[in-house]
Amino acid sequence: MSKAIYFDIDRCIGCFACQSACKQENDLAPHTLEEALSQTAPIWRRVMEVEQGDYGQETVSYISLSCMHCADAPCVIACPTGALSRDKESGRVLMNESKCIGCKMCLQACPFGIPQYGKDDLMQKCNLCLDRLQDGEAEPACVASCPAKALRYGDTAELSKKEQTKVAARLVLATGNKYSAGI
Amino acid sequence: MNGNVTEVLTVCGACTNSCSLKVKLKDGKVDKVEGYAKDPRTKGAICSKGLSAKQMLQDPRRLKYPVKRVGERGENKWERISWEEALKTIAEAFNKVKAEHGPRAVGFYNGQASGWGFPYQMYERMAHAFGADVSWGTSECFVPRVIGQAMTYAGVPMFPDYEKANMIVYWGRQPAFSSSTQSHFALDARDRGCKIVAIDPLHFHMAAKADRYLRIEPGTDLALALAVLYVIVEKDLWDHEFVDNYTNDPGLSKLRDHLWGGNSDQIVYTPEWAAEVTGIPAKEIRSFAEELATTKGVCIITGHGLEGRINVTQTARAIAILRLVTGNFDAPGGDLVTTMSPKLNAEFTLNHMVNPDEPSREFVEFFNVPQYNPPECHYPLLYAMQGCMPTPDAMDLVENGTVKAGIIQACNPLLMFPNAAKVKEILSKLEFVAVVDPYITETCIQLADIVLPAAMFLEKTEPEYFQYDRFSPYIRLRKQVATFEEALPDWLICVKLANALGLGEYFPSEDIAYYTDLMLKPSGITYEQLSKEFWVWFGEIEYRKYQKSGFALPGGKANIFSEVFAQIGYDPLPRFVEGAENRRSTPDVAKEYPFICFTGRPGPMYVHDQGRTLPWIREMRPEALAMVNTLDAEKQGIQDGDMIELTSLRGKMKIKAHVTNIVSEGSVYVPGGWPDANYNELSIDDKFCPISSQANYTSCLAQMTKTEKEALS
Amino acid sequence: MPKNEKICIIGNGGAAVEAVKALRENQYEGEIHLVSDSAQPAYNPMLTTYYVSGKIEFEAMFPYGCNMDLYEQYDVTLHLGSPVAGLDTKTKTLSTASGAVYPYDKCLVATGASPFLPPIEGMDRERVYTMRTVEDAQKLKEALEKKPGKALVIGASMVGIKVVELLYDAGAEVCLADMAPCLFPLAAHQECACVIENRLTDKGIRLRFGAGIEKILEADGKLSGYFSDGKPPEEADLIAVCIGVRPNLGFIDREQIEIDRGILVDDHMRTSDPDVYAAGDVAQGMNLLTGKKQIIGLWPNARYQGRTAGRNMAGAEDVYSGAIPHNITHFMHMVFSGFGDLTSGTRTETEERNGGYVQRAWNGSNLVGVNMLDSSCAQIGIIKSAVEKGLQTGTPAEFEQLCSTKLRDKLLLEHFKRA
Repeated sequence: MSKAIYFDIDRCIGCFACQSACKQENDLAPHTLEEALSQTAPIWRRVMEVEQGDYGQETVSYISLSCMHCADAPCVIACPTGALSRDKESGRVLMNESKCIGCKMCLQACPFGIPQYGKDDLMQKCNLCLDRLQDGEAEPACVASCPAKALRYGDTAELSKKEQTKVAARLVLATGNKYSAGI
Repeated sequence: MNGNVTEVLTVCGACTNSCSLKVKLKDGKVDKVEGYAKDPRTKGAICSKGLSAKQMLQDPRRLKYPVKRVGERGENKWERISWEEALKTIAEAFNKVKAEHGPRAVGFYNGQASGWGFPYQMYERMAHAFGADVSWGTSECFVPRVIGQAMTYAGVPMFPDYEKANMIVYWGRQPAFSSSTQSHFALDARDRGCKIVAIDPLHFHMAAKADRYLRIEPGTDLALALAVLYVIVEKDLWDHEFVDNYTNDPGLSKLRDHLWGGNSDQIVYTPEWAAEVTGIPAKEIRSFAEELATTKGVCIITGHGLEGRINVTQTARAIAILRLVTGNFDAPGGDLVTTMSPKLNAEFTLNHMVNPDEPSREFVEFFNVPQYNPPECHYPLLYAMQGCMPTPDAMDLVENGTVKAGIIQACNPLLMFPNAAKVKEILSKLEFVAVVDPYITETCIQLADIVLPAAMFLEKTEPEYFQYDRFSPYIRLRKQVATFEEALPDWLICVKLANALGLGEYFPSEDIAYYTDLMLKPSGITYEQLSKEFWVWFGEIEYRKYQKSGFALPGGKANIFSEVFAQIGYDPLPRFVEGAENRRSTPDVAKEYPFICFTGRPGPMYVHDQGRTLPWIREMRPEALAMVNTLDAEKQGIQDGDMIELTSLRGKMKIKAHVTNIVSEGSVYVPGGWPDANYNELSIDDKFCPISSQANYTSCLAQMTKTEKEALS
Repeated sequence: MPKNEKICIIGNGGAAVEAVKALRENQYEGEIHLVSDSAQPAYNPMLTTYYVSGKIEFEAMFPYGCNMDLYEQYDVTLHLGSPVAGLDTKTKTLSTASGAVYPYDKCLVATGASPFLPPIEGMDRERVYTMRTVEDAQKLKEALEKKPGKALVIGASMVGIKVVELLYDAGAEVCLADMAPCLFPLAAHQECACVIENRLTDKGIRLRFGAGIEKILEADGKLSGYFSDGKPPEEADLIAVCIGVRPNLGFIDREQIEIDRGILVDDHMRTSDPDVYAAGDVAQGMNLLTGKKQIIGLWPNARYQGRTAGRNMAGAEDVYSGAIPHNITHFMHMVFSGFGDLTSGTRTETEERNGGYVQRAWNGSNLVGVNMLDSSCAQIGIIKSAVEKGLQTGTPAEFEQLCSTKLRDKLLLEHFKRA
């Protein structure tokens, strides 16, 4: 059964912990203030504030965005060298750095704009904390740090079930019934 | 896995919320930090600030060793000196002033960054041993609200009972910024039907997720609170049982009278009246009040959004009264008072050395306050809460030449105090200034003779009981896992400086265990115990403690009508007072300066002016951006990214604009702590809350104009 | 499907291999015969320039492995080095140049395309190179070892610019020529092309646009390219011709299978014959932007088409509604990306901000093309996806603020919002 990170947009309050956690976990640039100001370092998990609507009807949401490890990943199809592949068991879309030629076909394929490029101009992105989980940690770094528990990790079937339960509970509440059992 | 990996449990110090932190070391070097899953407050979470800890250890801009100023103030030229020379120089300067003018001619100034628990007590110990009180840090924040609450129910409830709450009100608090590691509680509560309410001029982060959002004009929270009370009394929605049995206003006759025009302004605090002041429609105020009062279990979580106003203490009073009349004080689903420290040694801060009449006490809890009002302190209630001289008094003492030298620890007044120009003018009168900071800040550049490098939180071992949200009765040990050059923990700098000052008898050891044990003596908790067990719990969470112990206030009951305020001569029930500068009370100013220009936190990744040199953090928000409403922007042809100039009666500043509807029409928000876009060029420093001394420093009136881009540096 | 079914696949590129994988992954148990004029494992034509420049090793040109393991793994009977001469839909057989005949139940034509060489004098000279196949790459790589001083690249195309780059990096003086008036005539709007051209000229690369090559002569060991503008010829030590490719469908009987420029296919990759499929650079599927069928000779398009054909041939229903022509290429410290056809727009907008460059072309309220340079290219995938999805579902995204950060964020929000 495949594992995945679930991002609950209803819970994300835009605190940026996940972006920090990912930077630290993968020891990503920037490592200097100058590089930080240049805004050119690769960001594997990015928090964005999305505002919509006119004044008075404005909505403000936050998205924590990282590689979605798509089941039918367009980047895998687009990659000319086979550097990108998907491992069904772990649910990861993985990069084989030695095969990357930095052609950016994946950047053009990805609907989320995920591929990032380091100083070597080769592609890099979230690998679902492959090393960290192999070392025995239970969750990817972003999930573990999330203060709002908007990021969750687990079996895709279990995550779906939890979400369905929550939505069902909301429906029950919305229809006026008191739902008192813990979820 | 390569290298020898070890784990250390410690306490984060990126802010004062003190989340538990797990540090992973590889071959003895800090490799990663993360949360601690077993911490009941955080459940493993850590915010963006704490997670950047590793880069704090690698920051080339940090001060590595003590420095002495070369040339004039402002030249930013420094010469490395030894700790010995630095301390000797400071001690000589201070002792000279002491000999000629007395110990109170030396100022011991303190801020947030070193922490308000043990490090603050050590600083007090040093200052008191010298013969002076500590100053600053309390007028600005937290304590003014504490006063209001202390007068009402003799406590500060900082433990929201999230799990039973059916409504959580964030009033001037943004959980994405402050204590984000408790936000999961609120969101879990929401999953089971709890309503989230946000009262905030800025419609973003958690406020944008609220079930009910009240967009309030900055500084008018007192009006809203009074109107909410009005509705609750009008509709008879208050908790009769509690009010009649446990408060000094049974039947709410005094409160009712006050709300119905029985105040010195004769204003009836109706929702319609409040709507004119706050900008929140009367209907919404009513609806909110009714919902709040009829909800079982309401947490009201306040924050710095209520501060920087001359009505701050009465605002806190009004909200405290609200907790009482709705029966949410110390109640299930409401805000609970908890024991906020173990029993602490009353003598630890050597209060008798500033107050010869200091009574003996078995122990103290939380803050150790000398039991007197210091000379030249015009805000005794502020001092009585935390033992710290009010900022206006402290500044006066410098301005009038009483204080001649000073040490500034853990703060950056040249950037963070209102009216930057005036602050510089006044503090420049100090003949000798030492600063304790991890960085050379604006304060160092403009004032310091000596700067001592302070260690950051991974580099010190010290006991920690202070927290901000979900204040729980446990104490932990922050553990040193790294060293940064010659930087030293604040507490150890106190020890060394005290010794250099000739006060070594009070600081006979450089061992943290000595001071920990000394401070914790009445509690029975020892340093050894803490180093073995990570945390020690010294209290329980209990509801309605007042049923057993009453209220430590005149009459033994909760004071809806504040006896203490009445005695002193302050309004015993909160009367509405406008902020210092706004369209209603200063319409002439508003003609030329039409925008409500306010400041506050610079975002989830920054605390005040801290963090700007940490690459991972700075990347997230590389520059200061003012929030300008879309409609205002359109009128002035301001586009996203344009430079604007803001001017007030005090001064002017330039900043890049972010055009958004997060901020309301007619308002401009300037994030705090940015040296190149300093709100404090504009802010008010000379209008104060008469009770707490807090300056009206977070809000003023300004004019906004589009301006040319300056050459980017 | 019964075990004695026979599926023939003509060709051995990305489309063919994806079809093979799709067949087996969808429980096709019959025979797969793969017939190809090439004797090598499947390679990616895109990678040839990377090999020539030394950025990758020889083996890396073969993304499925520089060996026959995959075909063994998927139980494919190979007939390599065997160009197909004819395909008869009546007898359902294909015949090779050497006379072999293979019957099929279903057939996939995935023969790809070959470089177009204008029929001019001198095109067959030794030092005139193309850049498509592994052999092409080996030849040019060898030629570079002789350290050519001057080089002429004919065709300011995606391939052409990469050849320019590798020649430039090898130290040659380079001239880039094209019949069209500007660079990337199919992919870029003139304004955007101009920006790139200026950068190339700044680097000392000569541009010769607006005239077609008329003849190539050789004298004293030097080649000379003569152009239709009558101006003095370009001297070069080698010439590379990169003016596009033509689909390999000479063996197809046009009476049996409908052909326009390529083999016309529907959204199941079926040709006009129900048992014959086509995929890849030989196939002409739907261009979602124009609503007309067009050969979109891109690696991912070929793979999707091959996969779709394979699934349908295996009896599992699959639909590929089409693609938008798109390109992304990086060369000489710049990145260009785009989709659509900017030349078909009635109105364009250009936005230059924060070191990026975005150009949008509109036909009325329809977005017809986008060009991006450098840092703006970070958004290309998001916007292209949004455009594709909008076209596939018939609900076009709001394009008013396309390419701005605001829309990028908004598009991302759409992915996460609950109904």
